[in-house]
Amino acid sequence: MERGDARSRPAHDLERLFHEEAPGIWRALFAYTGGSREIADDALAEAFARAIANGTPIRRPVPWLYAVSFRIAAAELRRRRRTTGEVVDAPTVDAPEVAPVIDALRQLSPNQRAAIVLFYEVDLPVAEVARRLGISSATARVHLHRGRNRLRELLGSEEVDEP
Amino acid sequence: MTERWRAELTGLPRLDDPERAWQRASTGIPTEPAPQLPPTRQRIGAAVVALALFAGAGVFVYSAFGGNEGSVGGPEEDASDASVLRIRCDGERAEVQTPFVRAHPDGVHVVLDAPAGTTVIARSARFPYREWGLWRGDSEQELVRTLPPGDAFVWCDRGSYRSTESRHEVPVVVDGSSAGFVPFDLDCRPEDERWLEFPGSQEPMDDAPSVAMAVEVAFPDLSPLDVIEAAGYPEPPEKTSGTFRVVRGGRVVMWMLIDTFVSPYSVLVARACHDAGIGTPDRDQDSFVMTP
Repeated sequence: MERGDARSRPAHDLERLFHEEAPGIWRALFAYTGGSREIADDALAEAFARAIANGTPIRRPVPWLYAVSFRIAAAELRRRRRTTGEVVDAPTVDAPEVAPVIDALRQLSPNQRAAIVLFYEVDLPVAEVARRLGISSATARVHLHRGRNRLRELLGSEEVDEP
Repeated sequence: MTERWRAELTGLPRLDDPERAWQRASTGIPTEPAPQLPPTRQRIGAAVVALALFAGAGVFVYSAFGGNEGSVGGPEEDASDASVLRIRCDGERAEVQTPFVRAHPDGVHVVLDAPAGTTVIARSARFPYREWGLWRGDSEQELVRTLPPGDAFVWCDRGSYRSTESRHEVPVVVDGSSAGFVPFDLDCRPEDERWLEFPGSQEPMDDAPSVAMAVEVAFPDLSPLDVIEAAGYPEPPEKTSGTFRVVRGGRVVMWMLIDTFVSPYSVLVARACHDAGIGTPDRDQDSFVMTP
């Protein structure tokens, strides 16, 4: 998973890293922000832009990219709350059928949302979820536990066919 | 077949047009300039403002703890004997209107005067390595949290992700005399306490149909004479997980947080006295920052 020094690698390696990791980072950011496509887009692009321009070696670029993009997203959420009082924009989802899951995710804390998406959607093991979020494995397990239970309450736990 | 909530998750949107996103990242986004220090005069001015704020906070704490009786009561309660912990978040600053609060059998009742999406963190002086998060969702007005009796501190956090900003902590005192709280403080010196690794700790669930089985799976080296019992508040609001303690010869040697939502149960986190010889110390974990 670790891919060495970002500065010493050719640009096409960072491009390859982008294509491998950006979809997962973006989905985690989308969940973390409670459904803001705009903040997820900006934070993802800004994090990679900083990796490209970084003047010092990045020994573990994947966790670094997660950490930087999440910090950027958190700062933007804070800025918007200060200036508009809004947590995020209205959900900019393509299909109305996903509005319930966005609403449900908003009932979770940001770290719970991110942990849920990284574990269940990006399919990372708990230890990797913890590393991406900069928290301990135990804390990640509790975020998963509480987030999972809250989503069961909000969206239902009955068995359905795989989509 | 899969549970509905998981099926719904798969409908989340995905990154549109990765090629365009890469082009934007590689060419179109200006990087953030290095922060510039303000001129000396501005820094002195900022220091004076910070000193004034610090002095103001000191006056607030003095008045909250008896310096000016009756001046900080909540809208309906005596500040010296409140049944609800009232916290107001003004940006990153916390203001506690009821600094002395009585706990209930289900925990501490909290009312946050803060926008939805605000995070408040509480840290108990009894368990300095563990924090209790108060996350106000869109629909929640009054929260109940299992913050233990005793001295504690609260602060507001509007970012919640790895905030490095200085905390504005405000002290509170939780009176647990009538709440029936079962303590799980370990009977050993703080420096002798350890987080534990255990089988299954890398996954959120283990195959155990009961709490006792979950503990046995995680800690097979527990003695048959060790007593495992529920701890904390007797009627916790969080029915999906519970705190349990292990008593050996009248001494509390371990506590655990266990997922009890639905079988199979699993141990989520555990801490023990090192000399109890239970499990393996988890050297990667030095705190349990349970931010919400």
